Amino acid sequence: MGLLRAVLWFTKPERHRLAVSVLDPWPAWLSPHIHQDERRSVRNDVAEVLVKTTQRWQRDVVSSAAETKNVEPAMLARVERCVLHHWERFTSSSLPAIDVVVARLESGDLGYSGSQANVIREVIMAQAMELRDEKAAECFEREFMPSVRAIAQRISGPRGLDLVENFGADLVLPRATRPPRIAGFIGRTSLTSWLRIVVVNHCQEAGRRKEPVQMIDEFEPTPITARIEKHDPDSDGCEGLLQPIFADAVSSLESEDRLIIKMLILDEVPQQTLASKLGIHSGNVTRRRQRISQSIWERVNHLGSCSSASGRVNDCLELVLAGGHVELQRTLGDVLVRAMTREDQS
Amino acid sequence: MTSRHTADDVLLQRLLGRTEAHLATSNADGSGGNGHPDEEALALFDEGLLPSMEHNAIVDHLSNCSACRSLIGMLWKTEVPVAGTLPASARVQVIRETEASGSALTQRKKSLRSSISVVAIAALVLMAVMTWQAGGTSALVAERRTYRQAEQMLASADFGNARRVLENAERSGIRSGRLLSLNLQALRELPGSLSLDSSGTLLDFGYDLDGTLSRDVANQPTLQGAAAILEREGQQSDATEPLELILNRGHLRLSQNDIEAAIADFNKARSDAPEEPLAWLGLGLAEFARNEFQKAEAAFRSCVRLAPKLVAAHINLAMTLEELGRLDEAREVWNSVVALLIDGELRDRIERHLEELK
Repeated sequence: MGLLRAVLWFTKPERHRLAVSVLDPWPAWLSPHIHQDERRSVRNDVAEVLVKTTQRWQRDVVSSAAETKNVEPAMLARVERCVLHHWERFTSSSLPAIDVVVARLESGDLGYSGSQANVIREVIMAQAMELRDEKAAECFEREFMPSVRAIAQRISGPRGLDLVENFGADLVLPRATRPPRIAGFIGRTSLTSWLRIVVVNHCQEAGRRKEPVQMIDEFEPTPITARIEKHDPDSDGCEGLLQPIFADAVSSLESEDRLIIKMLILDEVPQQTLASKLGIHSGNVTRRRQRISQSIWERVNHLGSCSSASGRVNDCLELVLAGGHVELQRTLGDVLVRAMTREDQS
Repeated sequence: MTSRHTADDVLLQRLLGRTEAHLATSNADGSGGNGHPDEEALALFDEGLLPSMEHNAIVDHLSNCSACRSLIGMLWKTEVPVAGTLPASARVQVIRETEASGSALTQRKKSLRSSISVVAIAALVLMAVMTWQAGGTSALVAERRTYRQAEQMLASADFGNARRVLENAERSGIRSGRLLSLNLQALRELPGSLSLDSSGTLLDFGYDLDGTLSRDVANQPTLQGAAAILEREGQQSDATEPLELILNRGHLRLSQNDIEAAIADFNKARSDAPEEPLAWLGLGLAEFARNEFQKAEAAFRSCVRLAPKLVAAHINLAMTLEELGRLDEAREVWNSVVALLIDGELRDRIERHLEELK
């Protein structure tokens, strides 16, 4: 029914006026729904809606657009990309009219819970910023910089304000081999959501620039068994023997398990936050954490028993897995790190 | 968690950290280049809005890319604020078409949402009963709300209302280090959440531009209330107290002329957050107060390095250089202060002082 309604809407004669072809090539996901003969007229209708929408929001955020009705082709292409993306999302169960999709995007109804933003206006603002439009830059400063500053301050403390002082300009500056950062916003989500990632990344990059870079050799792709055999137990000790086995055990985990254990242990993301973000029950995260940890040690055990130095590996593992000897394990951990550092440097 | 698990975590943390280092060599960007997902995809992942295939691809990438993972980890760990509602100019009537209301993914989410709603309602009822039994709202939520309110009031110098909000919270048993910190600010009638931000120059501690001590700030009536609160709460620092409390306590102790205690606080702030310029600013003030001008100079220079536009650090550095008899360097710093200051009384005073130095 939805499809029929959409086709009827598209084929109304009064919608066949504008002959601007911005939809090229015709989106493959839409083709099965539209008869060959109707494609041209439908294409024109879509183009008409896109042009009008772009004109409307250009007047709001672009300096030169108030006096002229011209639409920059780049602007239109960017809006088209955004609208078609969402149109495709909305059409997997029914085929809505294009102007309904546009109206939804303008009203902040992206079909996502928690997102509310006029994405089309934001896309136009982003494109205008890329074209160095003054009014767009002012709109961005007024509407988005308070959030940018708040995020930067949360990440880097008071110094964060300095880091984002010229953030608007940083977004539009061309990068060495890539387009400016603002070109990366295509409106799949709101500008605010996109900015959260970009600002955190910006602050982290600034932090990294301040830290001395420690060069580490590339990861050695030698097979695990060969690397175990290579070790001289007498000179390296049992700690050196376990290191390559451990690296292999971690890489054999499922992606999500590897992500969970790293985020919990290395990034110290709270368990509940991780659970909600990955759509897992918090109690399951506890169990998975235990299971992953157990699986790593079992895999280490297995790989150790397969090596020619299995007797020595087993002795080492007994040390590691001798539950209750916390101090002993910590000491071993320290020695392991030193052994691995030596390996990296060599 | 048992000691066995704790020990496992310690080992895992060290070993994972080392294996990560191997992968981190060339992954330092995370903005769509070199095979990284673009920032919009990461934003959608953060919001849980990616289709499952794309979601799995990102999980796979994050499990091997420490740069992208630490980006997302930082976002999740610090609860970065989600800002902004639709600007008024951009609001249009919400048009909803029921047939167009969503993809299969959205439909699945809706059915999931409806079952979640039932559970959520049940949980709310349970929470309401528990809350009623406990005699108050969730302490954590109430603490956050109180902090936000008081912080806003302090930012607009509304000290009376800030004190009232904080007192009410305390009477309801809502306490935290950062609320104590705001309370010190409110009682001392200092705007903002950090005293060194608004009151971080040697001039604020009674010195004139030429370094002479002309006022005794230790007898200010507003200090006594704050000092009493601090006395009551116990002055010993602990590992969990927030940085802002340490800094504000150091400032208070410095104002009371308790210089050694202030130095202990600023040193703790410095060790907790070595990149925090205000920790260095406070340390410099304390060293100046006990006539250790070379140490003060080093601290102020560290502060200037970390926050080149912090006017207070430049003023203090210039005054310290004068005390050390290095007048040419002092003049140079005073000139940089004048360049940073917009027109105002302080700028006029500094310009007059510069004339005298010539």
